[in-house]
Amino acid sequence: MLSKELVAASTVPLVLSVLAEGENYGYALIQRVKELSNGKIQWTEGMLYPVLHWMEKEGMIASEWRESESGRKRKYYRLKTEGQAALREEKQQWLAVHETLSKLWLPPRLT
Amino acid sequence: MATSPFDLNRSLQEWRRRFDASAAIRTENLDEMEAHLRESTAALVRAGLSEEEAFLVASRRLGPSDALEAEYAKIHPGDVRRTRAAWMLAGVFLFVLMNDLATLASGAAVLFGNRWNIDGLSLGWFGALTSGLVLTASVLAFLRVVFRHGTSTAGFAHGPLSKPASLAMAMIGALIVFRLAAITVPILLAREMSVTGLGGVYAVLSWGGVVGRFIFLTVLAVAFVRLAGKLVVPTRPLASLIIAGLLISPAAEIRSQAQTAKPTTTEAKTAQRPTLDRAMKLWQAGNKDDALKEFVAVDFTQRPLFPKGSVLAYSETEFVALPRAVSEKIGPQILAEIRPLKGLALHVKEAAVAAQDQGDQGKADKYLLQLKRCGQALGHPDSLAILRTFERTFTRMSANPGSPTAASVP
Repeated sequence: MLSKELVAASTVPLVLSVLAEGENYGYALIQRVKELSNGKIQWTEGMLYPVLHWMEKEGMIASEWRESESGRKRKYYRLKTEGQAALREEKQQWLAVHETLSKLWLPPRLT
Repeated sequence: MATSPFDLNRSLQEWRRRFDASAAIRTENLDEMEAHLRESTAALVRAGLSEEEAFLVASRRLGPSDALEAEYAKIHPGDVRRTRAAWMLAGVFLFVLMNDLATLASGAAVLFGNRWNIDGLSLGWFGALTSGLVLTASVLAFLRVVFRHGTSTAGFAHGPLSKPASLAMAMIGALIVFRLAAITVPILLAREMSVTGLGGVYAVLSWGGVVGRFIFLTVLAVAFVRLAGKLVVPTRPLASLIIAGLLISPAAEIRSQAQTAKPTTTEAKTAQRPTLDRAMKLWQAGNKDDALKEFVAVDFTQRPLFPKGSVLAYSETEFVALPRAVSEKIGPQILAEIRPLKGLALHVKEAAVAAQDQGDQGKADKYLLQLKRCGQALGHPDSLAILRTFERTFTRMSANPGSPTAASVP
């Protein structure tokens, strides 16, 4: 389980990354993250929605109410150009952290 | 065991209602979260849970309502501020409304009580008591509504007035109606009651009003302090400021009341010296000799000639400026109060003539001079026009040593 701080910090890059796969709606977005993290990243589900609204207000994503094939009304979100730029920025930062930690934690090479 | 079957739609509606009073969460946000709950519940049912269990788990996973509200409040801070302002506005209107309601009730009580010929002071107490009861009742009703549902959501949350804006609008409407009614009450009172009666009523009501408002504000202050614990703003200093303000305003009012009351003490002093007014009262009481003595002793250079509160104390301009309903009421009273003046003047003149007949020219001159001075005092530009007409008559009477005739008096 991730710490609260890390969950908060990773929400935006996770949302951006999942939406980079294609447009999606809240419930499925949460399921996707749960599935990819093997249940290690568990959001308080409702908390995702205020974040989505904030990201929309910031211009990273756009939303649209549509009816699914099963007749359910869903609000779909998709990435905008600004969102793609934000994702690139996030990627750089997280990879920098990841790289550093990896170097520190991997056993030293013997060659 | 008969338990009512679980109804997902009803449960969802109940879940939505928790956010009715929230300014931060809009309908669209609720729609989205409801869609999520439905989807989540359906998935859990597929996994083998009963619908009721599935809904409980789904809503649990969604998170506690106050945490959701707090998160949304970060995104829509403007909505939250506007709503708070509207609630405050509603509070102010409510206060004015309660005050008006009490005023109206006391006025109505006085009007009603006036049918039985009760004196003004008692009527005033009757009115003050009524307004006190109405105020207490409205404050209690208010506190009941506020505290009934706890304080996390305001008590109005589920009625037709659940939105503060519509509540404020309803109050403005009520306020206009009440204000108009409250204005008509004094006019009706002035029409229906005698001047002294009115004086008594207002004397009691103004003091009773100060005391009543003091109690009213104290109750409100206590309620506010109890509520303040649940508010987010730094309330301690704010609360003490507001309470100080609440306490000061009636205190200031008491002071202004005391200042307007001061002239009564100077009136008490002037009561020691002889006045035309008392001479006329003695005359009316049939005490002709004392009336004459009093009249002769009056210093006519002193103004005002008539005590405050006497209908004869009006200046002509003041009288003309009175509302028609009032002047119609007062006109006959003025005529009635003038009546003893005529008789008294004739009596003074007779006394002067009698003194002259007895050879006491000094006494006769003194009486006639006093009569003339009285006429001059009555002819002062500040007097009522009807009083000014006495100047010519009294001057003629004082100049003419012949016996007076009733025809010479207006």
